[in-house]
Amino acid sequence: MIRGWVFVYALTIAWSVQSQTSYLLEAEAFLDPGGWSVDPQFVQQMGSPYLMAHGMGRPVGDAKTQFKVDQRGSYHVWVRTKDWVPGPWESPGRFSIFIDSMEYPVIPIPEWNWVYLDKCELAKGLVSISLQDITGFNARCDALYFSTDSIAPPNEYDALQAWRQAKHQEPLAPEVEKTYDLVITGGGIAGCAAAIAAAEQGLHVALIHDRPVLGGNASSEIRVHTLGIYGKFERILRMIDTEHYPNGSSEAIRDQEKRDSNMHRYTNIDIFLNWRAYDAVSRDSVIEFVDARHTSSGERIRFKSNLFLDSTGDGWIGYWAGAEYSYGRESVYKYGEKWPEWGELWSPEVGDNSVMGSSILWQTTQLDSVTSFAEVPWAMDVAREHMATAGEWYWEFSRSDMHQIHDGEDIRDHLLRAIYGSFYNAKQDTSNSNFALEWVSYLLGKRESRRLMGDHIFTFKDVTELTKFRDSVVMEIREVDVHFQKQLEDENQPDFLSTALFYKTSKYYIPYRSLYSRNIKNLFMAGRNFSCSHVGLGGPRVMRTTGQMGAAVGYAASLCKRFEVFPRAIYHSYLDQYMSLIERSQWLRP
Amino acid sequence: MAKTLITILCVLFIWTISNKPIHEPHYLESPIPWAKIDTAEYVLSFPSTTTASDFALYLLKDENRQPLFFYSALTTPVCIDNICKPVDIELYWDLVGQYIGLAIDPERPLTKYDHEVWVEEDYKKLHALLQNKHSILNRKSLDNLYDMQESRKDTIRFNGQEVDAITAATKKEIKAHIIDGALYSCYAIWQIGHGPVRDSIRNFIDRSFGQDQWLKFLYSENREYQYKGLQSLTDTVLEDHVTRIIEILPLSKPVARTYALKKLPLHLWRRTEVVQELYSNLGAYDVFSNTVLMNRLDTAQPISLLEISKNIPHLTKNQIKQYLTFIQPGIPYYEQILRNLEETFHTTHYPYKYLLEDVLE
Repeated sequence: MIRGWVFVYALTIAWSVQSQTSYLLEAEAFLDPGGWSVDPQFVQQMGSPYLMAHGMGRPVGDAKTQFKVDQRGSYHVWVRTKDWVPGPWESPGRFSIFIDSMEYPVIPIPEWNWVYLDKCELAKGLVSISLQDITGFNARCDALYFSTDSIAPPNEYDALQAWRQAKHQEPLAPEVEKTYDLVITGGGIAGCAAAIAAAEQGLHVALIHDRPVLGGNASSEIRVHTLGIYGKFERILRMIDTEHYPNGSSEAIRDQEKRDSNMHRYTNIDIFLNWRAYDAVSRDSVIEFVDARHTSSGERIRFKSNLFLDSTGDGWIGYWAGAEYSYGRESVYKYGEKWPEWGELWSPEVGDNSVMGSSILWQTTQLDSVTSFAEVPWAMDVAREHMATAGEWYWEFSRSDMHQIHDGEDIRDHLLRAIYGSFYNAKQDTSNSNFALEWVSYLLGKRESRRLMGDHIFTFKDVTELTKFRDSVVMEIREVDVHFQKQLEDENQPDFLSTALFYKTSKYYIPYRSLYSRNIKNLFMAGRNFSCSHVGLGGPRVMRTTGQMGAAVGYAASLCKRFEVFPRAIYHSYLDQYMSLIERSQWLRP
Repeated sequence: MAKTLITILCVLFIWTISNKPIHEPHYLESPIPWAKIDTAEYVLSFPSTTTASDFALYLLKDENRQPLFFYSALTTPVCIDNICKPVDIELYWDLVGQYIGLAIDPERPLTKYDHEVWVEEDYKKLHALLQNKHSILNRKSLDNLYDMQESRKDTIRFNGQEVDAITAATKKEIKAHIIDGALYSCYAIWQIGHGPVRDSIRNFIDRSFGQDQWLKFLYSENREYQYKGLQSLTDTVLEDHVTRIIEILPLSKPVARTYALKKLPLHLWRRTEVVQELYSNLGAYDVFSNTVLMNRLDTAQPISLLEISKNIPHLTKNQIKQYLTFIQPGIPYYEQILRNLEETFHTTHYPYKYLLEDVLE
């Protein structure tokens, strides 16, 4: 399904039917977002990127824009927002909207919805709008709607998308089309490695990424260090990986610079930063195009290619295109993944929808003087008595009633409450008086979500048996570690902390057949959405290993182009050439 | 012939008795008093993680020959830079292989790298460390435990008996977990206590215990034993003990509770008294177990819907949404359910009132 709309920029397009006049302003398209952040993580759930006041307890600078009113009159005003912590407290998500100089306080309601502000008089000409944050604690604004009609806009997902499309007079398909040898969606380490490998072999590559910086979980926005070995791809992976600094460290910024400068050296990689894919269409099990939208401007591009790589982590391209996938924990009997010592915590007798959780990393700093931190009553039922002045990988949240994709925003918000509440508790200890929050990510660092199914499903058995495949293209020696929530063993633990189970292993291998879809002919996958079981993911989900997958895909794509075949044929007909290409490319000079 | 047999029995008897623990444990996490031990029965040898030799594992029993604990007296070298010193310690595990206690020969106390004798606080810390089966010591190699960039300030004096000496300092991240100056001892003892011995015990009990012992586990007050009982009893036997399963659920740890709920045979979800008991306890269960209960709503007796309506504040947002899909006019107990939902709706400070609005309208 094609969804979309054209965003309203500085001068908003007026849309009129009969006597009704209306203006839809997308918050992410504001001329000046001030201190508000554009958050596109949950577009597929709530319908749009939005602005969020992520001030870590200090109100952020105003977001501002202007729009042109063609017809003076009385307008009803709605704002689409969300009370992200409904409860018996003043909502941390409240903010004010200024229409010219008139203030309209916004009291959000639970779940994303339109909140009616008031009726206001608008004169013909430019109208100034600003969003004023009040709490510094993650107020959010999706859009404003002005209408001479009193009918509230729709809120149900499909109806809202159709309404937006109509309001923005958006054609069904993007008007801009671009064609590439390989279209990569997801600029994490796997996507970057694939882009380099393919580009070095002469392919013209599109790399679509929904953030302003590359690297995904390793980026300076999430700050997880890369683990694992380099395998056959050290030369490539060293251009984009990280040092082994503590998770959450600001040293990630230095590695970000390294990654960005190395990626931009490749002139045949077109990097589309802040572009988020929203659809992929296949015909006869072949993907024809991926559609993406700019996360602020709303512009759209249709990306065409004979070959696509899904390195989105959540397996979105495969999902839209109809690729088979799995989610959750398989029964221990399905693939023979038993580890008796840990039983159900490792692999359950009866499969379920539990998966490893997501993390939000955070850092504090010590100032020269005492600094305060606001009371956060809305965080305390999550943090309870827990005190902390920094986070680590084990700040992780997963729950059997929550889905890491569908409930992503609630999971992120739960972790924010855990952080703010635990830090507030720590601040009550006078020895922490000088501590201040320095950095808290608002991006979920996910471990596990959809896993697209390939010709080979990589499982724990491949590790225990140290299977060597004809097409072993990825190798790893790091332990297989599968996480579970601490509460499963002890209900008194906070629900946002996890424990890791480590299975020590000798070198194991992942075959190329786990890197392409078994039912979508021209789809590769690399990263945590590669073809594996829940336990199988435990080891290779770390980023040097996923980077190996990406690089292996990049080389395979180059042979697909040369021999004009789909990915499966590389295994069946060109495996020797492929393995030989990987071997000799270890020492190529870019 | 008889003489030989008597001799063998005597030797076995003396050998068994002689291996009874003689040092009262510093710590023993068990309601069973140490004095109840009557015999020590050799069961197997398990490989050492620190030496080439194996350690003997004993099953300690009471005077009625009932198994109480597993036990091993260990002498292991702790080495660094090719300088080694023996460390003597006695460890106890429960019947499912979990570390529960330690004893030290008062004549051979543990010492630190500077020869300082361990104090009681050190043993307490070691005991706490050994109780943590997920310790950081599990996933770190010895090399990773030291910060090679940072040298100890202390002068290290080797005299052929030195232990826990190293030219680098313990990494900050693990300092809180180990006894300062005794990293190698802590590491070696933890690796033994949580190493191959646990597999050995698990294999031994799976081989040696039968349904009668698993039933004893199910009826014991020990949560770990109950869980092992649930895992080991056959479905046929379990069906005769459903009352006991339901009885232990509120106090079980969540992983065991979810396991038990998932394992309950399908037909039991159609028995009103079972379902009523299960769902009326929902407020005492954890979120993971409640998810299992919610996922059973399509097969459970409708009384489940009524019981849940009395416990709505214990449900998460997603669980409420899932529950409400079942609340339609015409279902049994519909009016009662609505009354209960209404009561929750009017509860002050209940955050998910908005989810109930549609149904109540």
